[in-house]
Amino acid sequence: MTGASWMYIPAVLAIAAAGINLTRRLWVVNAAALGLQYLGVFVLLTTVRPASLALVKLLVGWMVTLTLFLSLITDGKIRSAKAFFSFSAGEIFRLLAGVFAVFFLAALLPQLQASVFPQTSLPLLLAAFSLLVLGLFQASLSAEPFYVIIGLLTFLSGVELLYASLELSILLEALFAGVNLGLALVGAFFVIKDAEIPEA
Amino acid sequence: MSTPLIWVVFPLGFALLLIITRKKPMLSGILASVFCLLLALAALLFPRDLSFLLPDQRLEIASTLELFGRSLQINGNQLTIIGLLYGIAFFWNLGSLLYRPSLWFNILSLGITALWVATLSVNPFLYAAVFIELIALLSVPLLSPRGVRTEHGVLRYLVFQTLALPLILLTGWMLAGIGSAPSANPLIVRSAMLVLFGFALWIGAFPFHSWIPMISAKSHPWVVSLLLTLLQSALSVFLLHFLDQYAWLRNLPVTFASLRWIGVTMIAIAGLFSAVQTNLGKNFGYLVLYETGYSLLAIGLAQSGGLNYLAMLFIPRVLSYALLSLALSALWEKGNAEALAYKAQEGLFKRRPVVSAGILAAFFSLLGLPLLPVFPHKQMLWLLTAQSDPRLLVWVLVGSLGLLLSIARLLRLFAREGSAADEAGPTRENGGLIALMLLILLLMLAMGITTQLLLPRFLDILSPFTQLAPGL
Repeated sequence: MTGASWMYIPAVLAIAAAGINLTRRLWVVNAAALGLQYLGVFVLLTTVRPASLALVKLLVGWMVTLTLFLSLITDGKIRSAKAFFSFSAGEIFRLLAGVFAVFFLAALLPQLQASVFPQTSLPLLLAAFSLLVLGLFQASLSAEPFYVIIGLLTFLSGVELLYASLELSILLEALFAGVNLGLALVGAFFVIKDAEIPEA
Repeated sequence: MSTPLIWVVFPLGFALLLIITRKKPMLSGILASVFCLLLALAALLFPRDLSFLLPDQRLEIASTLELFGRSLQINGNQLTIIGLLYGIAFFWNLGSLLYRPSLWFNILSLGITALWVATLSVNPFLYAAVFIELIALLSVPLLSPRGVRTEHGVLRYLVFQTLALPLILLTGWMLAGIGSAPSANPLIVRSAMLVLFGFALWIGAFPFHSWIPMISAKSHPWVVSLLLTLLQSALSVFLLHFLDQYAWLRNLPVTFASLRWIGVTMIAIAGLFSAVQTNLGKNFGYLVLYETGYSLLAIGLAQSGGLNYLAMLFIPRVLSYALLSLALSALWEKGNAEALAYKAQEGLFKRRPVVSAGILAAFFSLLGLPLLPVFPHKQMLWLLTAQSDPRLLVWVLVGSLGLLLSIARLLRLFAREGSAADEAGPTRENGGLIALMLLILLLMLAMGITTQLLLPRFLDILSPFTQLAPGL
């Protein structure tokens, strides 16, 4: 199965959003990109799930985004997106790493699809694996709790997308929703807790 | 009424109820301890066929609870490990009356224990991966409480536990169609690698172990010891589930050999790292890794009877962890993470004889000193290891020597004189601390002397694994 070509639009949206989160360190932009990423995942999910179940993922994803966003607002640390198009060396490195990873995956996936995931469409597979890899980069290239949590949420989005194309289990869907919300709460906890501690 | 209701749903509900009492730690601690004790006793005393004979009827308790088309299932033969998990939760909640690491300790410890039971009982059991992720999330407020900056160790813990999730879930999906495929099938090798990699991430096997010493150095010892004890005990049993359920994994020639080699590598590395530590908390983390190595070695020796010693090591190991973490918590109470640094322990024999004796007794116990309860089982594991492959024994010896060196360093440090703090005289220890330590020491000695009396009861832990340990 190669999937309809329109499916590349939500796939690219989700990957681009994850790429922005990997690259930029502007919290307001990151929160917005996370929301967009969940929108892309939702559209892809509608191709393998009933729309009602896919909608649950979108709602959970946006609740997660809102929780993180509100914790940043409460904390007063939301920074405006000034100089969006100027990149630091670290950001360029992360951008290049992300772009190379996605291109590498795009080249490798048709073979992987044929041998391991024949029932999964290529755009969905590309989005799932890209989210997995970009999330992993994000979680391992940053020591700041907020970005680690966004990385883990991105990684989990990839897992959920991939697993949704393989098997349907309502219990697992419910557990995944719990894990996503739990991660968001932990992220909010980290943000607020660290802000309470005065800088040395 | 069903067993999952008793040992999973009720405890989770009770944990939620305990939120009301969180501002009254003494009451919360007592309630949580009593509840855990009741659950542990119920699990150990419950009839294994889950039925009660009443004068006029036979009352059967269901073993399954349906949940969104899947189920939680607790059979009679799983109750021993469940009793052990709640026993651990009982003891640590009792200890929380002495040390209050967090207002949420009692609530979360009960919730986490219930989730570990759910992990061992969910059907299909590969969904346990998501429960383990939830446990990691619930552990965060305990490991990194308010007022303390978020440490890298906690983040790394979360990352590793999350990375393991897809590996285990995908294995489940891959395995759906290969239950009876020949072991040369490449899909089987791929699945086996995914399972072992997932487990390595969960249990902190080398080289994915860094989060354990990181959190044990920076978080409250009482919290760390509870979480790691539950994790190590439950995951060892969960690995047995895998090996028992999947004949292809069991029959793959490299599976048990890999487990043996990973086990001895962990023993050697943890022992050596323990010898060069400068922080008692971090050293505790390496001791946990050392013991994880022994668990994996015992599982790797399953075909020659190693599982018996895995089961009989559970209680002695838990007692040693409890003793050590009680002592470390006593040190932590007088300061914070810095209170566990080696440089603060000079002359500890004079200042805090009870605490220093507790630390050394726990180290000696885990090393496998004769007369202490770990010794007979480790001795048997050494024997089985030598019979299986003498090269493995060299690594075990390296690890043991490392641990011995670590103890020698501690002895020298504790005996060192001349620091200003020595002149203040010995610290008056809390009566509860002394009572708990004495109780543990007595239990350890009793188990060490009467090895064959109590511990074989825990061989029941292996009874669900009819393929791995037939005849139990």
